[in-house]
Amino acid sequence: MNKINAVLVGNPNSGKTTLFNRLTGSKHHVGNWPGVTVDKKEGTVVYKNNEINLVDLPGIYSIFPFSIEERVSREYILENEVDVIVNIVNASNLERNLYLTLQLLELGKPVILALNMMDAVEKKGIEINLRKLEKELSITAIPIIAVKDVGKNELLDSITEISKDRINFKLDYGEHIENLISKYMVKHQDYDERWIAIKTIENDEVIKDIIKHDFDEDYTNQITSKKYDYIDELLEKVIVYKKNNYIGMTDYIDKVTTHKYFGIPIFLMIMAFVFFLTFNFGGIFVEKLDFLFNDIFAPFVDATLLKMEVFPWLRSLIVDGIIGGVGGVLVFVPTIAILFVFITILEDSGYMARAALIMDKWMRKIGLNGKSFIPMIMGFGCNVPAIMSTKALEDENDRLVAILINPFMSCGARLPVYAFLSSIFFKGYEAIVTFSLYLLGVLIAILMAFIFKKTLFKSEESPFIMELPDYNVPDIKSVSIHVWEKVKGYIVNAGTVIFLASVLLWFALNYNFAGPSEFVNSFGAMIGKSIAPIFAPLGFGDWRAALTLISGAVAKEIVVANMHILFGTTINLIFSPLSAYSFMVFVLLYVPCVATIGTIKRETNSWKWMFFSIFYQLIIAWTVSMLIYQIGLLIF
Amino acid sequence: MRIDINRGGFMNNTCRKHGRGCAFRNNCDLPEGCVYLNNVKENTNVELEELCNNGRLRRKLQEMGLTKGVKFTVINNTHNGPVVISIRGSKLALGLGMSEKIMVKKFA
Repeated sequence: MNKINAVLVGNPNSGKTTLFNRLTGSKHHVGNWPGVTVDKKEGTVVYKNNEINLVDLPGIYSIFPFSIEERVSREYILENEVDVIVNIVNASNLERNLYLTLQLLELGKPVILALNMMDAVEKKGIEINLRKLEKELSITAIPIIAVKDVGKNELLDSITEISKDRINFKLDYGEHIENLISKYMVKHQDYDERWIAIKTIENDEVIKDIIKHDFDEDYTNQITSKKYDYIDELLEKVIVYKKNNYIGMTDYIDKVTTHKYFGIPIFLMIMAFVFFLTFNFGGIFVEKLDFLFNDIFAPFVDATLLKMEVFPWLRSLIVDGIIGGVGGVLVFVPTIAILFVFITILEDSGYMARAALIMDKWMRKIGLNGKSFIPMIMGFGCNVPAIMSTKALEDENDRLVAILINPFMSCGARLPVYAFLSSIFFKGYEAIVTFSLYLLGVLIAILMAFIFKKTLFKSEESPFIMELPDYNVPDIKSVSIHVWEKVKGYIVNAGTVIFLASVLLWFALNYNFAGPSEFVNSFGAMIGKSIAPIFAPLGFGDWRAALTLISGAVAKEIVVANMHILFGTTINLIFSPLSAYSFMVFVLLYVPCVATIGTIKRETNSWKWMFFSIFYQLIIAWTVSMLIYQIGLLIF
Repeated sequence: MRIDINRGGFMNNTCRKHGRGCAFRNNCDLPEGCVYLNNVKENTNVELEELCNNGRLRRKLQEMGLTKGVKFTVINNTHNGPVVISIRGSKLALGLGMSEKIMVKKFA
């Protein structure tokens, strides 16, 4: 079989991820780039006796590295054996997209142009002369509609057929610059000599690693302008506008969603809608699953094991420990799936950028900018990708603040804890109670950001520059692949980490140094009792509550698993509604799960900030819960 | 001695309006008919006169299509902050810190 290394490059919102998912299906894996936690997606496509290894690079506007994502993309293209670059462009917005194309062409590596969203082109009344475009740029251009699989085979054909010859596209920069280019051309085994010269006179730092140079002028402005001028001229030749003054849906929707007064209320309504739907709609499934696990499956297994006459301790381990613990977590799969569906839709539809825009004014008041708002919303799903997404922020200080406050955004794994406790103590008011917790998390995050920006991370206002993409209906297949990846992670977690934690907890609760023991004399009780006094002022000084919190640091959903094992039906004796609320607040605010802690370590690249984040959150969680409980005692 | 405006080498001449980050040093008076982008009303067509942004940001703006002389339209400037412009076929939101350093000229 013939092996081909292809790499997918394109602007954000050009449909790159959709194309990647459509080409590789579920046969891809997500990893990280060495050293940084930018998603590295790789997949294999077998096509006509060719094995195409496809790498999906982060969406970029330019190969000049402004952000970490751009740096990763650039390094990958420059340093790896890339047989062909598939440059996906939004064909309805060629003016911006072709800028990157010109930069790619100058690298001297084979490039295929995949013109995506040809249906939008038609709708906008644009006609593209493909032949002419191919000829002018001397490359192959394939019209595709990624969401509808149109042009998929043609694209694969051209990937396999692309010649290994170097591209002979050459943009004429005018006499003065051309003279400079020929002066600075250097032969190099890995890089195109003309590219080296252009980068030299652009004073690009990348060149310093490749060749020694001393050039102290900067022609970026001229070279960038020339590229855009060239694009203008090119488009005049290849594009015909059949409809004048086309106003798309995007403009109409934007009039409402970014309205001076309506923008924020609309945003809040959308979030409330998402939230209540997740909770109420998901709740139906949770009840059904819960019934299935606890009222049908567990008694059935219990009875079967009893009939088989297995050891009583093993029966207890399986039924109370494993089914109770793992099952308690698994019943919340529907809620989490629904939440991820909404977060993914918000991201893919293009609305997230508008939310960042309308919130900029408010985010600036706490010293951040609108872009820092996007990781916060994503945190409602899971803090790990949310913290990873802070890479889009240009300012290092802003990024640190955004990372440190993100765990206060209540993630999906904490939802089961609220759902479980509020269904017992606040029946009928579950949604309101849960919403209040989310709101509290947001308020604490905002307050902390404000304090951080005023003390630890004083910096001037950070730059805010963001493209507002056209709205589009999210591709169902892409959304489902994305959601499935997250849900799979949750289920795998339940089967491994939570399974192990449940077994460990079961042993800790049924044994001590002397062997099998009663609950109250077990290892677990010893540990719990030793730290329980710390939580007495918070209203849950019971050793069992303390023990759940310790294990909950591994993953928040373990708290629910443990409660099933530890409390059974006695939960009403341990918590009052007030202390249950205080407990939920503590779960909301205290240390995030190990996965998030690990991500904070990697993203900040510092043990100091990791430990800082753990301790300051513990302090805040304790203080806020204590205040709520003590003030609550005075009122009720 | 050469002044490299893109990398900000000079410390002595600080712009009165934009501070040290300004590419024009102490000489940042608005030419006749020019305004800064943050002061432009909605639905106005403008032409880019000069970027007073500096360093990497300047480069970023250029690469996003804000090159000298480019014509674009301000489509939203009501948020007391980001200005939304329609430029080269797409919409860009530019925060206050940036827009107040972008010098533009109105045209009919």
